[in-house]
Amino acid sequence: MRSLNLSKLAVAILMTAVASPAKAMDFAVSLESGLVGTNGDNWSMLGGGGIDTLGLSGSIGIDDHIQAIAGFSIGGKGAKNYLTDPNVPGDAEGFVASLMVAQLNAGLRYDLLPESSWIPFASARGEVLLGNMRLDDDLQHKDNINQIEQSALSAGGSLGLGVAWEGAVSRINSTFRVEIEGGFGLATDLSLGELGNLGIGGGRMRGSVGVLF
Amino acid sequence: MTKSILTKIGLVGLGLSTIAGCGGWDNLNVDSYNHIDKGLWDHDVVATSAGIYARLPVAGELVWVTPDGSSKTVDLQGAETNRIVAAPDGETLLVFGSYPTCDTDDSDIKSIDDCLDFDPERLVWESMVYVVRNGELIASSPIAAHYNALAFTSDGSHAVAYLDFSKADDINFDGLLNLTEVVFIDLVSADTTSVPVGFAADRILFSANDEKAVVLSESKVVVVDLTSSSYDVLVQYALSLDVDDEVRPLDAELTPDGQHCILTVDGSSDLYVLDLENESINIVDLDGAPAALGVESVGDKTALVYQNDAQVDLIEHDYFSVESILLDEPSNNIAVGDGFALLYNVSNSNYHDVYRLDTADSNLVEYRMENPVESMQVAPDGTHAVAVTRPEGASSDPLEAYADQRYGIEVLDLVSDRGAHISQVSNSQPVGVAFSKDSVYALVLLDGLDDLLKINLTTGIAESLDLVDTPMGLGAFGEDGFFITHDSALGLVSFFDPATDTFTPVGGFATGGLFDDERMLVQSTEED
Repeated sequence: MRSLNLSKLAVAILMTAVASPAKAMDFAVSLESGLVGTNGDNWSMLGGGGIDTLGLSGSIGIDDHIQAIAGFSIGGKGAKNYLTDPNVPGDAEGFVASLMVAQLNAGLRYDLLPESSWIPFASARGEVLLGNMRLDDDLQHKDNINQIEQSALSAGGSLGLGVAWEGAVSRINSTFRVEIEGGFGLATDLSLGELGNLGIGGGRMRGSVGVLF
Repeated sequence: MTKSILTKIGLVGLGLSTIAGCGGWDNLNVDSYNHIDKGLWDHDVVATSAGIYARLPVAGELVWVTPDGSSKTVDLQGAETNRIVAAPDGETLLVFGSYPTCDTDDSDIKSIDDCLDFDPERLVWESMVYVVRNGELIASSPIAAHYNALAFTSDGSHAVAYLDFSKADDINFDGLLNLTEVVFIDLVSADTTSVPVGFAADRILFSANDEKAVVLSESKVVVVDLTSSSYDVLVQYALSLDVDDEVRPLDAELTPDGQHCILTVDGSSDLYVLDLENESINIVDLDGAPAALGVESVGDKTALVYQNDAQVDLIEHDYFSVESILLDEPSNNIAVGDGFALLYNVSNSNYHDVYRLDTADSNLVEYRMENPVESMQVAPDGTHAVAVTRPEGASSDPLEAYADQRYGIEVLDLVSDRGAHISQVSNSQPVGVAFSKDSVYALVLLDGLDDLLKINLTTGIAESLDLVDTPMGLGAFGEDGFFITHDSALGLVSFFDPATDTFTPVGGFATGGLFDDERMLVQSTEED
C-alpha cells in the first residue's frame, strides 16, 4: 500500500516536472530508495544493519555516456533497548535510540550502452550525511528530562555498478528509466560528541524509478 | 490535482524538517529491539563534597556529576572502572580499574579487537588504583586485581586495600595469589606498599591520631607504623599458641584512648584485649560467644551482646571487668551514640525489643517496636533513632494484623527514659533513610513511591515532596544536602537542598561513550 502511494507521488512529481519549461531530453528525475551501509557493533542499539533511505535524484547528460547525478534522501533507524538485569536503573522501560539521517550526494554516472533498453552503468558519488540521534528513556512523558539529542555530519564517497532499463510510455509521452545499483562506500564516522561514534560505510544499495525529458 | 501534488511535496518537506532537528519526540523512529545485559550506570553512586561519581558498566567509564547540572567523563587514561570508594576527606575518590594491553611489539595493533584478532591470549588487563579529585585524575599506581575493599585513616591520608572474601564475586589473578598481604596506599602520591600481615586479613583499625594501623588476620594481629615510609610492622600478636588452632577475629575496635584493641573471636567466649603500648594480651572470659560489640567513648566502656542470650555485658576499659545486665529479649546488634549503646535484633526472629543502655550509669531503657527491626540508624545528635521494621506473622487483632503485614518506620526518642517512640506503617519497603545535619528530620524513600518523605523526628509528621522519577537510593551530599538516584536508564540523580526543599535533577550522564565501539589499547603504564 505504501509503495503504491509512493509510486503515485513519484508520477505526480514527474508530471509536474514535465510541465516545467526547463525540460530537456537528457534530463531525468527519479524517486529512489536505498540502503546505506554501516559498520560497528554499536549499531545494535539502533537495531543493526544498514539505514533505509528514500529520496529524489536527478541527472543531466554531459555526453552520450556520462551523466552528472545528484540526489537527496532521508532515512532512519531506531530500536527499543531493553535492559535484561532487573537490578539496574531503568530495567522496566529501557530506552529508545533513534537516528534520522539526511544524505546529499553528487557525482558522475557512466552508461555503457546508452542506446540500448538495458544499460549497464557505473557511478561515483561524493556524499554528505547529516545524522540526528535521539535518546529517550521515558516515552510516556513528553517533558522527560532524559530526552537527549545530538547531531553530526559524515562525509565520504561511494562507487557503484548497476543496470538500468529505459523505455517509452506513449500514452503519457514520456520515457521512463528504472535502475538498480549496488556498490561500496567509505565515509567518516558520525561523531556524536560524548555519546561516541557511529561508523558509516560499507555496502550500498539503490533502486530508482524516474522519467527522462 | 495540483493541490494534491503540493500537499505531497509538503509532506516531503516536513520529513526534511524532521531531519533538521525540528521534529517532536512523539514519533521516534523505532523499528526493532535490542537487549543489553548490563545497566548503563550503577546506581550505587559515590558522593564527595562537590559532586557524585557513577560507574558506567556498558561504556566502562566513570562519570562525575555536579549539582550545577553538568556531568563529565573522568579521564582514566583508557582504563575501565571496576570499583569506586570515597575517602573520608570528602574530596578523594579511589578507583579500582584496569586497562587493556596487548603483549606484542606490533605497532599496528591498536585496539582490543586488533589484539583479539591477532591472538586472544595476548590481551592482558593490568589492574590499577587511581586517585581522583573533583573529576580529575591525580595519580595512579599498579595494584593486584583481587583487592576489593578499602579502609581509610580518618584524615584520608592513607588507605589499606585488602580482600574481603565475603564480597568477592570473582577473584582474578595470574600465577600465584598472595593472601597474606595487604596494600597500603599513600593517597597523595598513590604509591602502594605491600605489607605481610598474616593470612586472610579483613579488618583494619586506625589509632585516633592516624599514626598506627591495626590489621587483624587469621590467628594474628599486626600493628603497622603509618609514619614510616615503608610501613614498618611495629609489633605482632599471635592469637593462638598452637598453629593448629585457627582463631578468626569476628569484631574488633580500639578503645577511645587508642591503647587497647578489643576483639571478639568467631565461636569463642574469649574476649581478646591487646595492649598496643605494652605489647601484651589479656583474655577476658565471657558467658558465651558475642554476636556484636560496640565501644562507647563518653562512658569509656564496651558493650557486648549475644545471639541467643538475653544479656548485655558492659566492660570498663581500666581493668576490663564485666558487668552483666539481663534483657527481656536477646539483641544481636549494637549502634553506638554519645553516652549510650542502642541494642536491637535483626535476626530472622520475632523479637521486637530495642534497648538504650546508658554506659556511664548502666541505665537501661526498653523500646517495644510494632514489628521486628530490619535496620537502625541513629541521628547525628543522638537524640533520635529511626528503625525500619519488617512484616511478620499476622496477629488475630485486625488492626495489629494490618500493621504486622507491612513494613514500618519507627522514630525512637533517645532522650526519654520512658521508651517513647512513634510508629508509622509504611505503604511499601523503605529503600533509604538519611538524617538532616541538624537532626530535626529524617528523609525516607519508599519503594515504588515517587515522593520523598520528610519526617519531623519530634512530631513524627511526614511531609511528602514530589520527585522527578521513581527513586532507587538516598545519600548525604556536601555540607547539608542529599542526593537521590532514580530508576532511569540514561542516568538521573536529584540533588536535594533541605533548606529550600528544592530538587535539582541532573540526567543523561549515563550516555557518555554509549556508542564508542572500538576500545583502544593503552600502550604505556606511565603514571600521571
